[in-house]
Amino acid sequence: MAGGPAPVNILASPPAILIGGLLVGFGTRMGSGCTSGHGLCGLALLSWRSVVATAVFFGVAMVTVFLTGHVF
Amino acid sequence: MAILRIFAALVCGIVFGLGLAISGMMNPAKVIGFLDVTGSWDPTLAFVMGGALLVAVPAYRLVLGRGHPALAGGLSLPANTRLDTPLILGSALFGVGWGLVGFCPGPAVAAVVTGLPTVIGFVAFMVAGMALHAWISGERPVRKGSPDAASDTG
Repeated sequence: MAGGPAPVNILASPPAILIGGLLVGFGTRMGSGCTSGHGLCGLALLSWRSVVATAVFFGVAMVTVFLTGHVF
Repeated sequence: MAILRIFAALVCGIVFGLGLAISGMMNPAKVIGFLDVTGSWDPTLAFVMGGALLVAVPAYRLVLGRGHPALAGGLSLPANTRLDTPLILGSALFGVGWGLVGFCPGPAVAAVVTGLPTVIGFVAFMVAGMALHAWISGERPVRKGSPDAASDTG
């Protein structure tokens, strides 16, 4: 760290930020967890549900970044 | 006991927040770089989850072996073991939102301290999304100590 506050740099446009927020809130409730809940706590508990959830949200997020960054 | 629990929660929150800030998980541009496997991939954030699991896996073994936490009467562990549609569909929707912006819930909440309008807008819409799910699914507030309280973690 170079000192000073941690950088928070958002590249997405305002409409994408709000749509993304809505999807993150709705999706984590429907899927019963997020990066921390499934990715850390669930995997640490060796839960199959969390293994599947983590694979799905990582996979879908990578495809989304590919589509928004390299296709559209 | 109650004051100790609040203090323990505060210490955990500070440690978690520090970890998110120092590692770069709180920076959406860095998270997008980590998810951009077909572009200029920045794999460094893999060490955040990997490092966390190196601590959390043995720590959970330790806590589960003790039978109950130091400051609570019992553990609230997820009871559901089925791989059902809400798990897959919800995780997929979350993945789209995460890929669009680079924020997941914990880092987004931690980043509110920056006061940036974009961060506050994201968190406001994230809370709206959670409320929308509660409304659609007819979910009622979970009472402390009820069997429903042992659902998955957030």
